[in-house]
Amino acid sequence: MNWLKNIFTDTSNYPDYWKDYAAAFQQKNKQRVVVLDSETTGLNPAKDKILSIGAVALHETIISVKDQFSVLVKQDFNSAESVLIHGIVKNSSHDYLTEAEAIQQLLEFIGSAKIIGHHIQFDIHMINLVLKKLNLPNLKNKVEDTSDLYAKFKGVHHPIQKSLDDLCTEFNIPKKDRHTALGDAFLTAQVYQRLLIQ
Amino acid sequence: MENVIVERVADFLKLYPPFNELSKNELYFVAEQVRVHYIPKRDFVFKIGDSAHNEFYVVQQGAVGLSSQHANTMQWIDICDEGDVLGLRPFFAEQTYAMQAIAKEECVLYGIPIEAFKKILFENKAVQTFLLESFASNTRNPKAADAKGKLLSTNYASTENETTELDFFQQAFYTNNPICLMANATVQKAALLMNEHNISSLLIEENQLPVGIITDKDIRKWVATGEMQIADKVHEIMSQPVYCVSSEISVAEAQTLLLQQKIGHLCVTQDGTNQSKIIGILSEHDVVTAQANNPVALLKQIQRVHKTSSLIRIRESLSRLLEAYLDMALPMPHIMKVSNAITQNLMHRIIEISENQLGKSPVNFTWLGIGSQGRGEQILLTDQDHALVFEDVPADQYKATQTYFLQLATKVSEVLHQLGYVYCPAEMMASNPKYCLSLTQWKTQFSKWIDHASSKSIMMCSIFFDFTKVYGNENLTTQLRLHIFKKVNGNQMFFAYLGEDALKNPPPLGFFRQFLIENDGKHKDEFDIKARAIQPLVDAARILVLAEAIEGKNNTVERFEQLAKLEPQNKEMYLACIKSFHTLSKFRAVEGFKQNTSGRYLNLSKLSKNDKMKLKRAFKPVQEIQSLLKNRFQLTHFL
Repeated sequence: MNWLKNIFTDTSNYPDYWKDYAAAFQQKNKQRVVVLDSETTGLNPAKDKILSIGAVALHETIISVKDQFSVLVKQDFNSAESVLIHGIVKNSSHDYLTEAEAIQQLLEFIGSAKIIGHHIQFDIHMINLVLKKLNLPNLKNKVEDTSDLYAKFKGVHHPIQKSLDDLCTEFNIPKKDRHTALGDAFLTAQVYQRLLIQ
Repeated sequence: MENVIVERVADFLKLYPPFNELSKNELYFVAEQVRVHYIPKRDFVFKIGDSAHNEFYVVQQGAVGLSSQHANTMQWIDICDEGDVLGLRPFFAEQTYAMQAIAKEECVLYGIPIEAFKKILFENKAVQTFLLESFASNTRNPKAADAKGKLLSTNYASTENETTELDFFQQAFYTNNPICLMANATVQKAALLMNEHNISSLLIEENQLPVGIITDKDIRKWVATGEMQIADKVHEIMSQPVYCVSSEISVAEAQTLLLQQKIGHLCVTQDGTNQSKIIGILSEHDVVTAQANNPVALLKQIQRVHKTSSLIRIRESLSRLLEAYLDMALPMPHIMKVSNAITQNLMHRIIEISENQLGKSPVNFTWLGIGSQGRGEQILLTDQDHALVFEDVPADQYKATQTYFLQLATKVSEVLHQLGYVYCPAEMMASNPKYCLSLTQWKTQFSKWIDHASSKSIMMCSIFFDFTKVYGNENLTTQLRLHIFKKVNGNQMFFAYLGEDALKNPPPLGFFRQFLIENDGKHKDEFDIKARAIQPLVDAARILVLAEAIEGKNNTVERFEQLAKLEPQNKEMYLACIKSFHTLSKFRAVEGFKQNTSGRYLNLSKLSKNDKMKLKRAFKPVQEIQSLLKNRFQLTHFL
């Protein structure tokens, strides 16, 4: 019941960046959507953490390379399994942001755009958990899952379990940079583009 | 964190001109600006008259067809595929597109903002030149597509009609208002008129339309021999019909016609047919004067010489001539025709001389050129490939007859060897008793190859089926050909084998990182352009023509032309095959002259990016024609 919570929460204590983010929804820019992917330490929201977030925007149906976003998040622990998949190791030479900094920049980037992603509910949930830690409400953006869009595209009314890899293969998209948040976001954006246009 | 998207885009762009000219910073600057478009098959990128987009495009995946409008019909100008740039018009010209771009396959295009790119353009001369040239070539006629990527300055010249080394393509000059005579005039009148004007030929007209031509030679041949009288009418000795051309004919075209038809004069008429008014006459002499170092002169020399040393000299001149033609980037069809005409005449002359030396042959015979010579597709000196067929003789004379022809063939073969046509290692030569046979023996041989199809016999078929008469009796070749057509007609098993053979070398997949490189032996890391690209086209044309029982087409280009006429639904593909064939032959010829080899193996690392792209583009039709073969001859179960 997020909307209830939103109504009854005093918004004046929110930081400026949240106010700016919320204000963006006054005039929605429907031309822009954001395709997002995050890498996490695992699939258990109760204990796992976000390691990185990547996102790229489409303007109408065109992916804009310039309009992209990518952060690495500083975390206290790293499960060995996740390191194996994503190659993100604590204390490697890259610049890391704190969760709060990462979220602030993310909000600035996405603004009021619709968020697209493959099995995106998990990413949204993880982000919302961080927002909650910061005493902020959930994301206000509309969300659409490429998995659902794919089912619609195929004309079926039940979810189809296909991985991003499967979809890339089906749509003849060369798989590069899998398992970096930005790389996956870019691939997802290309899948979305095809689902949108065909 | 490194930006993987920008990196990916940059990695792609840097493979292709003009982006390969950019510094790393410039490249990343451009990559960052890219907008990724997805275009489903058959959607337009832009249409004629659309106002210019604020970006131009690089094909990242798929293929975009460019076409322009000519008198209410759309004509394909070019197909752009991976790495090609399009939509450059906003850089250079007014603000609407002059052609349309349509996705021939589903495409991913990288859009690069014009404004952002202009900065780079101004600082980078090479980029400027490339874009300007690409732009010029895209708006030129289809012939220019071949030269795209690396344009010769001549492409500009021909659009501007400037005088360059391509004088050769200028309009041929001809004699206006030629002297004409009515068909019912006497031969004497003709001779007097020719003397009066000091000319060697007269056009014969009826109502100002050309009906024939009379030359010095005709008078010599008919009148001076006493066969005809000076009071006879000119129409009885004139040559007819007259080959007519329009006044726009180029020197090259005139020359090709004269060579092909073995004639000395062309009549220039108002519309280029013999149904319109005479406006001039164009003689061999006009062409000769138009071009000093020329094939016509070589042909004449061939007829005059007797010594092997002179023949060697002529063969060397031919090589020089062809090399110069390639340098000048004359169209491949013309180069190949000239090469073929001279080679055939040279061979003809060598056999003629040998026969004279050896004494007249006991029976009629035909010297056959086989393989690439049979198809008239030789530009470089290659191995000898020939065969000989002689008339049937009674059994008791067979041995003696064959012995004569083996002697003749050995003589000819020796001369050819001295000219630079080395002996065929597989001994597919008329000097080999296996390939110097009577007509009946040859029929039996072909029957064996056809009836007992095996990979070896199919290889023989593919070499021997492309035979052409070089010297001797046409009738023998006709009979042999009829026999073959009868044998193969409806023979599915045979076509299945032949088809399988035609598919044994699939073309490279189209992207040069996937090039099939020879991975063993002497030619490691080189690309066998003959086996992997030219041969598949040659084989495809042969099997299709055989299956359609098209007679008298021996040349790969002519075969595809004929197929295009017969199957309008596949016309586009066949024409693309012709273009590829020319492109590939040119690569081979240029490489051959450069390395002084057969040009068969290309060293990919030494090719420029542009050449690689051009090469790659030439593979597409090979792929298409192979899948047509698979369907048509139901070869899938075979493979």
